[in-house]
Amino acid sequence: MRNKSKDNLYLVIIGCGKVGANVASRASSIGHNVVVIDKNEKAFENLTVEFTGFTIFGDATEKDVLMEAKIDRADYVFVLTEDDNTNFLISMACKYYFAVKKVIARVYEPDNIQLFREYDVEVISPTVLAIDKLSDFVVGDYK
Amino acid sequence: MKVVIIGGERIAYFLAKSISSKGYRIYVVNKDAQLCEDFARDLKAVIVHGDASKRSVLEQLDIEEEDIIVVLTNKDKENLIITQLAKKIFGVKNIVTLINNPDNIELFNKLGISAAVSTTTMMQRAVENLLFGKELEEFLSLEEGKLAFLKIEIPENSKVIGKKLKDIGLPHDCVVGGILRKGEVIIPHGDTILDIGDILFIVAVPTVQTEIANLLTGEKDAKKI
Repeated sequence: MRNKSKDNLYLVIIGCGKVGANVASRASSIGHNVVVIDKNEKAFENLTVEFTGFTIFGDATEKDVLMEAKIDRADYVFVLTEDDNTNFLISMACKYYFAVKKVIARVYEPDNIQLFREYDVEVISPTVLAIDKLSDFVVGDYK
Repeated sequence: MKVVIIGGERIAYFLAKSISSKGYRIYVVNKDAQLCEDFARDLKAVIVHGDASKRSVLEQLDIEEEDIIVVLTNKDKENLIITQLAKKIFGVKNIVTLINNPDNIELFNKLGISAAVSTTTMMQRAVENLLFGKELEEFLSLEEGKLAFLKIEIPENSKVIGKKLKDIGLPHDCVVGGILRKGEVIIPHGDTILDIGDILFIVAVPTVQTEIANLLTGEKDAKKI
């Protein structure tokens, strides 16, 4: 197996919304290899000029699309669609069909976080982040 | 113990109807408000209107580990999250689910849902049996269709009649495991000579199915044309 240094990662980003597109563009600009998947072709317009990676127009809940992205070789997969259920299906496919080690998923519904974690998917929850941040104002000396 | 039926329209209705007639307690969960009203009128069941992929909705159902959960939505992503919430959070052991994209069967199995039914796969098999004609029948398929067990009858004017098995040029990705001839079973080897009406049992990779069918049922002088 080829030894990859931190400055040359292979990233697959699923969902090219504001978050996905910005992460993809930034990662691409510092030299990482990036593939972005979205089922809406217009979404790729969110990418900035810095983006030099590949785009795949397709539905990532389908195995063939993930295969096309060579997802089994990814160092990180970011699963960033708008829908928790979609993100869960894609995360599970990454783990169980393609043995991806690092899957990071966006999870809106706090009730779903436990389930993602049970299956060793790292979770970023905008809802929880916002709650925590805002709560800091109210319970300032809590920490 | 109760049976919880989630999603689905007609299947949910008829399933609930037949199970409740046997005296089991039924809960039906559906996202569609109109459908829930119809169910409430026509079924002897507890009807819950809501999205069962939400943990808060499942929590209202008083799910116990012995319950049976049947998941019938037409979206695999919903079926997946519902089955996994039921299994991981509520500890339910008996879960049956519908699968729409056959590619996902293996995924559900790997995630511990062994009773996964794919209507697409069933319809596909029925159609393929029609495509290949009545001589060839796939009677079993393993590992989500990666391995097929075929049953094929040698028709009257087949060009392979009177030939040795090793000479007819079967593709490499198949093995003839047995021949049924006039009610007797023969375990064939390369020198076995094929006869009219032999029924061959073949283990094969699905991609060579058509080739096998053409080879064994092809008529004698068909190639000369």
